[in-house]
Amino acid sequence: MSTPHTPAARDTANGGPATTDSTADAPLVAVEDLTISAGGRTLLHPTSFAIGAGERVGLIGESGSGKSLTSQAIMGLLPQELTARGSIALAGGSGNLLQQSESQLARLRGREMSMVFQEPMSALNPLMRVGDQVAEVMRIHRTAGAARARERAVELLDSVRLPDPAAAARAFPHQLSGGQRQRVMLAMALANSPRLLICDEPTTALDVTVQAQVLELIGEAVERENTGLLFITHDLAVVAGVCERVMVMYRGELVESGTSEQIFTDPQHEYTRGLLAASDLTATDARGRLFTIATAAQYHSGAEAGSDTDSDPGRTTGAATSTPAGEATRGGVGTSADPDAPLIEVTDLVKTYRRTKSSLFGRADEVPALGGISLSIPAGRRFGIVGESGSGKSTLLKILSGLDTPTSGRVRVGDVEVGSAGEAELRRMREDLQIVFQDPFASLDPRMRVADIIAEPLVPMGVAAGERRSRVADVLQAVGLDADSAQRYPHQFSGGQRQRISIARALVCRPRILVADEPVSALDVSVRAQVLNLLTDLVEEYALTLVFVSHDLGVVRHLCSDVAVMRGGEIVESGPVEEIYTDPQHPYTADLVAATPTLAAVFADAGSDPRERP
Amino acid sequence: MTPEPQHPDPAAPEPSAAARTAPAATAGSAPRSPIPNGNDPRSTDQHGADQHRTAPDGTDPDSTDPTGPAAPARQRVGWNASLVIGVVLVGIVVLMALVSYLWTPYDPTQAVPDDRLQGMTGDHWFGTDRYGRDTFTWIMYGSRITLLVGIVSVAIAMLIGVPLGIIAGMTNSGILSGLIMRGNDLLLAFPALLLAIVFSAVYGPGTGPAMVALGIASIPGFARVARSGTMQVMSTEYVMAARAANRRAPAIAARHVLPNIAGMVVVQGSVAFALAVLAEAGLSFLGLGTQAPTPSWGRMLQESQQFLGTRPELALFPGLFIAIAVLGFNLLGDGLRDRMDPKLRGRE
Amino acid sequence: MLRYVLVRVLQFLLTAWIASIIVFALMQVLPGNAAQVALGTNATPEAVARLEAEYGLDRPLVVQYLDWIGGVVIGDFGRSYVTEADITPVISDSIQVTLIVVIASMALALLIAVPLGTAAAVFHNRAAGVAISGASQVGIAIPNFLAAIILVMIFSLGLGWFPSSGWRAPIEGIGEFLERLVLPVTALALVQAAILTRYVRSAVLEVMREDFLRTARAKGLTAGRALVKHGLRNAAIPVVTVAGVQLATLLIGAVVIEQVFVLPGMGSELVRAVSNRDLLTVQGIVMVLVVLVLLLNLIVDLLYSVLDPRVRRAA
Repeated sequence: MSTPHTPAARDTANGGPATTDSTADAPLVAVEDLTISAGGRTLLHPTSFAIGAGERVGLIGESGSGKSLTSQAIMGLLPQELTARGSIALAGGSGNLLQQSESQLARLRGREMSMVFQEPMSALNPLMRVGDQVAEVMRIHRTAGAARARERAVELLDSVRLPDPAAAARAFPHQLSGGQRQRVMLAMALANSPRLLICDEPTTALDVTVQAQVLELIGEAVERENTGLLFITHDLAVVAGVCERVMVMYRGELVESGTSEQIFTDPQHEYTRGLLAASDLTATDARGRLFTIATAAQYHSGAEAGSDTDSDPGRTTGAATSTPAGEATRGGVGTSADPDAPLIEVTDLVKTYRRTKSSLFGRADEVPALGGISLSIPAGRRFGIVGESGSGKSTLLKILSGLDTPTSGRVRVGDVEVGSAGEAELRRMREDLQIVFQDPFASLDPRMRVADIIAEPLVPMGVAAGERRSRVADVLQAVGLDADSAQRYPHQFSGGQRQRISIARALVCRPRILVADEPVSALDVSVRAQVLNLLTDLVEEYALTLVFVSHDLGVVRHLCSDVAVMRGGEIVESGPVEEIYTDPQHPYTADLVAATPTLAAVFADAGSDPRERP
Repeated sequence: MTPEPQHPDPAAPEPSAAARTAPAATAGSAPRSPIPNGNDPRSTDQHGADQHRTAPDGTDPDSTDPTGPAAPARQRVGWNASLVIGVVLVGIVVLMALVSYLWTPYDPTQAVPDDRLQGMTGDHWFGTDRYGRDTFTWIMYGSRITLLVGIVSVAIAMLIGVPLGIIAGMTNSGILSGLIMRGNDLLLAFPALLLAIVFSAVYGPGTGPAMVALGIASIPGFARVARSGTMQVMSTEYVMAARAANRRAPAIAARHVLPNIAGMVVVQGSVAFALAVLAEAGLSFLGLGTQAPTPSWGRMLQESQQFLGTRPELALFPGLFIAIAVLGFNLLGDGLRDRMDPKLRGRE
Repeated sequence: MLRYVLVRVLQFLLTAWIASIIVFALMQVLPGNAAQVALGTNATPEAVARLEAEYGLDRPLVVQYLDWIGGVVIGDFGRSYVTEADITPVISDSIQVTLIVVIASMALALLIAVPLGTAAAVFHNRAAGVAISGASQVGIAIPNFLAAIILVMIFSLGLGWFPSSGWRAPIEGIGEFLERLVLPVTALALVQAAILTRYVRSAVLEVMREDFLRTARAKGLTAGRALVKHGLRNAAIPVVTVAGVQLATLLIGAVVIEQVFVLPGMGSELVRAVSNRDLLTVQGIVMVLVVLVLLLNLIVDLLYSVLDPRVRRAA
C-alpha cells in the first residue's frame, strides 16, 4: 500500500521499494508500509521510502506530521504505547527491525545507526562527564578499550570543533552551551562511524549562527564518512542546504518526495507548494503580503522564475511595494504634534541584573543585560530588533513597556519618561503601548474566556461592560476570528488562532505602539505567514508604530522598515532594513545574514548544486 | 489501585501524594528564582538543578511538576479510578458523621456491663468495649472528630499559608518574601505531631489545641505550594500582558493567580487532610489528643491494647476506619491531581 | 563547595538558635507559671515561691532563657522541678534507643522500597506495577501504631515469636536486644517503606521520561541497561532528599511506637514528662528533637550537593 501521493514521487533511482537482501545495490535503509498507531488512532499512514548508502535525505513536515515518529521507528525508540507495523530493513542486517528484540536493536543503535535529538539541554546525562558519555558509546559496542575510548572521545570532541576538547571532556553537560552540547551529541553519534545518521531537528533549539556551524559540521561529517543521513526538520531552507533528496510529510502521510531541486523548483503536491510559498519571506503577492497555503497558487518559486526574480531584484520589489504603504498611513494620521520628534527614544540605557542568592551570605553577582544602548524610533515606522539569545532584546522590550526599570539611562515613549515616570504616567503610557508575546500557549490565561482576556486592558481604563463587549466584538472581527470565539477558552484554539487573540488583546485599547516579542517564532511556517500578514494589515489599518523583536532576520526583513541588530546587550548596527541586510557594516551582522538559511540562497544554488554527485 | 490514565504519552501522570510526607524541608530548598540573564530562555541551568528537589514538606511528593497552575480550565470529565475510590471512601466517612447526628445504634455513653467485650454480633455489629459500649456507635461518633480536626486544621493552614505563599510568590526575592520563606523553614523544624505534643503540654490535652497545632504545622506545605504556583503564574506571559494592561497586583492575584493555583491548593488540602487525620489519631493514641468521653478513633485504639489477645476487633475496627479516611483523602488528592495534570495537556 | 558547606552550617546554627527561642517561649505562655504547674493547683503560695526561688524561676525571662540555652549548648539541660533529677541523663539514655530504632527502620524501609519502587515504575502499566502502587497506597494509610498492634497480635500474641514489649541494651545480650527490636523496627519500616516506594517509583518514572535515557538507548544500551547505568543515579537524588527528610518524620513517629512497645526512648520520656507536667524536661526533649530534625535537613542538603554537580557549581 502506498499513499495516494506516492506516485508523484520521482525518485525511482533511489526510493523505489527495495528488496532487503544485502546486495551491493540494496538501499541502506528500506522502509515499507510503515504504519504507526496509538490505540485505534493512526498517527502514521502506510509509508514507504528508502535511503541509499551515503545519501542525504531530508524529511520535512510541520508539527504533528509524523516525521519524528518515523525516525523513532527506525531507531527502535518508539514509545511503548505506540505500535508500528510494516517493515524496516537495514542493509546487511537481519530482516525487519520492527520485529527485532530490544537487545538486537541495541546492538545496531550507536553502531550501525545513530541519532541526534532536538533538545540539547536534556539529551545528555547531567551527572556524567561529557567525555565519559562520548567514550561510553565505544565501550558499549566494544569498538575501543577503556583508555583508547577516552582518547578517542577527546579526538571526537576536537573533530566537532569544541574549543579545548580535553577540558570539554572533563566538563559536565550543564557547563556547556546549547550549541556545544549539540556538538557533543554529534560526536557521540559519529563515534562508531555509523552507516546511517538520523538528525531530528538538530538545530531548531539553537541560535542562527550556531545552527549554521552545526549544519556545516553535520554535512562535513556525513560526507567524510559516506554516512547516510536522514535529516528531519520543519525548515525548508535548512534542509535545502544539507540534503540532496527531500521527502515531505503532512498529517501522517508522505505526500511528496524528490530531489531537492525538484521539490524546490517544481513542487507537485498542493501542500508542498503551500509550504514553499509560505516559507519564502522574500516573495509577496500583489498587496505586498506573504503567500499562504491558500494563496500559494499564485506563487512561483524563485528558482522557477529564476530569470526575472533571481533573488535580489524580486525581493527588493516586494519590500519596495510594502514600505511606502506604511509610510503613507503614517503621514495621514500624524500621531505626534512634532512630526520630527521620534515617538520612542532610548538613550544610554543600561540594565544590570542582580543575581539574588537565596542564602544569607551569598554574593550578589551583577549580570549585565544591557550595556548602554541608544536608539530612536519615529512614529509610524516598523522597527525590528534582531538578536540571538542573550542579546538583551527581551530586556530592552520589557523596559520599553514599563515592565522593568532601567539601571541607568533614559527611555522616552511619547511624552513619558519611562525611567522616572510616576505610576499614573506609566499607566497612561501602557495604554498607548501594547505587547504581543511569543508563546501563544502561555500568553493567554487558560482559565479565562477569550472575551475577558481581550477586554482585560479595558478594565483598568474604566470602560463600561457594554462598551467592552462591543469593542471585543470589533477587534475579534479585525483579527479574523468568529464572534462566538468570545465565549470560548484559549485551549479550544490552535496556535495561530491564539496568537490572533493575543493581537486582539493588544489592539483593543487602540494603542499607538505595538510591541511584538517573537510573535511568530512558536508557529508553524504556514501559520506564520498568516499571522505576519495580519500584523501587516493591522499596522496599516490602525496606523501603528511597530516594534518587532525577533531572532529571525528573514521575518524582520519582510515586515520592518528599520532594524537594530543586538548582541551581548549592545546594538552593533542599525538602519534601514534593506541597507543592513544587503550591506552589513558590522562583521556580526554579516555573520548573521550569512548564517540565516533562506530559500533565495537555495534557489540560487538549485541549478548547480555543488554537492550533487554524479 | 492506581490506574494509569489512557494516554499515548509515556509520561503518564502519576498518582501521588503520600500524605505522610514529612513536614520538614531544608532552609534554602525553596526554588531559587531563575536568574534574569537577559532574554535567554535556554540558559537556565542552575534552575534545572533545583527542580530535582521536590521539597517533601507535605507538598505533593510525586513529581517535579505538580498540578501546574497553567492547567487548563478543561471541562474534562476525567473520573479516574483514584478519584472514584477516593470520593467513595471519603463519602463513607462523611456519611457516617452526618448520620450520627440523626441516628446511631446505641447511645455512645451508655455502658451496659452485661454486654462487655462482645465480639461481632447481630446486636453489636462491631462488638462492644470493656464497658459494654457499642463499637459501631463509637466509630460513627469518632468520624465527627476526625472530620472536625481535618477541616479546622486544613482551614487554618490554608487561610494562613495560601495568602502568605501568594505574597511571597508575587514579591519574589524581596525582603517580605525572604522573611516569609525563612519563617516557613523555621516552622518546618516542628513536625506536626511534635508541635501537637508541645501544645498539649502547654495548653493541656484536647481536640482544640490539637487542631490548632496541626493547622500551624501544615502552613508551610500550603505556603510552599502557593508560592511555587504563584511564581509560575507570575512568570507567564499572560501575567506580563496583564501588567502591561495596567492591572494592579491585587487584581492580578485575584484574576490570574488564585484561579490558576486553586487546583494545586485543593490537592494540597486533600493531602494535608489525610496528614491531619493520621496525626490526630496518633495524638489521641498517646492520650494527648481528644479526651474522654468524646469518642475518637485514636483513643479507641489505645484502649484496645490491653484486650489485643482477647478482642482484636476493638483494635481492628478503629484502625480500619483511620486507614479508610487517610486512604480516601490521599486518593482524592491523587485523583484530582491526575485530572488537572498539565502533562495531560496536549499541545498539538 | 567549602563556602557552600559553611553557609549551610551557619544557616543551621541560626535556625536552631531561633528555634530554641520559640521552644522556650512556648513553655512560658502558660496560665500561671512553671512552678505552679509542677506543684499543681492545690499548692500553697509559699511552696510555689520556694520552688521558684530554688530553680530561679523568679528571675527575668531573658536571664532564664540565657541560663537555659547556655546549659543546653554544653549539654546541661537543667534539673527537673518535678522529679528533681538532672534531665541530661534522661535525654542521653533515651536518645540512643530512639536513634537505634529509627535508623534501623529507615535502613529496612530503603531495602524494601528501592527494589519495589523501581519495579513499580518499570512495570507501571502492567499488573505487577499497579499492584505494588496499590499496596503502597494502602500502606501509607495505615498509622504505624496500627501496624505495630497488628504485628503484636500476629507475631507476639499469636505465634509467640517475639516479645510484645520491652527493651534490652545490646550489652545486656545481643540476642535479647535484637529480639525486642524486630517488631518496633518492622512496624515503623513497613509504613515508611510504603511511603518511600511511591517516591522511588515516581523518581524512576520521572527519569524514565528523560531525554538522556533515550540518548543512552540510541547509543546502544537496551532500555533496561540504560535505566540502570544512567537512570538510577539520577533517580537517587530526589530519593535521598526524601529519605533524609522522612528520617525526621520517623524520629517523631517513633514517639508513638515507643509507647506501644514500652521502649525507653525519647518519645516515652516526652509523653511521660507531658503527663507529669514536667515542662523543663519537655523543653529539653523538644529542643533535642528539633535540632535533630534541622541536622537531618542539613545533612540532606550537603549530600544533595555531593550527588548533583549542578548544585556544586551553583554553590
